[in-house]
Amino acid sequence: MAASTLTEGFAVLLLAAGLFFILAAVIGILRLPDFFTRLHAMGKCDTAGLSLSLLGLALLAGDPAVTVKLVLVLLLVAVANPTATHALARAASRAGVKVWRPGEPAEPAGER
Amino acid sequence: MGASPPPRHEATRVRRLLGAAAFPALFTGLVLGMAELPEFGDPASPASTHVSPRFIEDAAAETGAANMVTAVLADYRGYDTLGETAVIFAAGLGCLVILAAAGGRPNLPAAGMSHPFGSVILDTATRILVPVVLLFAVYVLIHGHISPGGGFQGGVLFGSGLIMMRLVWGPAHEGGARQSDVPAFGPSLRSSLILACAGILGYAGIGLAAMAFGGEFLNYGTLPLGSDPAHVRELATLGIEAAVFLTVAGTVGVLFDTISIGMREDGVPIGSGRGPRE
Repeated sequence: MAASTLTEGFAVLLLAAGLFFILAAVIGILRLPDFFTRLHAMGKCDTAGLSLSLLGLALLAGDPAVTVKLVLVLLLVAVANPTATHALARAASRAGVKVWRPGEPAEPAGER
Repeated sequence: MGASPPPRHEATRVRRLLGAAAFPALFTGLVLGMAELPEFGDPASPASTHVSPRFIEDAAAETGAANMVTAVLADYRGYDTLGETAVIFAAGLGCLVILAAAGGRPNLPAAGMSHPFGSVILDTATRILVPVVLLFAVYVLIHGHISPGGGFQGGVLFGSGLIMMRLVWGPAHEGGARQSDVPAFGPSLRSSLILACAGILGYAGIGLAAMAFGGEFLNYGTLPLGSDPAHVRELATLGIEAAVFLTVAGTVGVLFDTISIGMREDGVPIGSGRGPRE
């Protein structure tokens, strides 16, 4: 009983940390001034938030098959998410998307 | 804007009037027709009293497929699915004809992205992900009998793996210099087209083979694949799903290659006479 309570507490901590990173990503997308900085917020915080949430869920799953599947999803996210962010940044850079400099007005989210 | 606007105007107005007249007529007809349909979800409707119970009770025993959707799709209504596969194939052909003509570069083997998008990160990630994606596509195809999946889903997955390779590593056969040091891998546009053709031919071929052995078109029970009729149907259904898989995967490859035909990084079609590097 004590062990399972410890596991649950740890899982809740991981889920809370994951939600914190996802919240940070959302705030970053809304508040940061241009495409690259928003991508930066989303790429890192999304990966961290999803990975932590999935770890927490894997601890809570109970069924080992579900745990293995969640870990596989975690591996996929860990490879695919940063790569997709990199591909987006590369495409934007090649397409000549303007980089924001301090002092310039921020580009409103959802435009371009 | 042309030299004779009045007739064109007239035609537009006539078309609009026709549309305005046709719409309420069609709408009324459809609404009246709907009133005659059985209540949505009515347990006493013919579909619920005859068709569904038959599928639910007998599908596994008759077709050897635990996944009833596969049993209906590839066996009971195989004719319908042959049509769907043909529609997908036709969409790929239409894309090929229209876009290849518009791009002005109809030569098949050289088509594709002329400059791969790759970088070290993308190369590495693709090497890790693509084998998993392709393997999972085949898993989805084979598992269509017992879990959600089948030829359409597996084919699309396989096609997306091909697109990923194409995006990062460039076309399969390209005369010019390559930016990436990875040898390009994956079927050329011509091979994709052959795959798609092989799929649709294989589907129809299984149907015709059933006829040759004395059954109806696409009634697999007569095929000489064993003594257990359910097992024979299961094998034939897997063949059908594999054929659908080939057609869908090949068509996805054809679609991607024709859409990206001869495009350079700056989006100017090669051979269009525009841009600096011709």
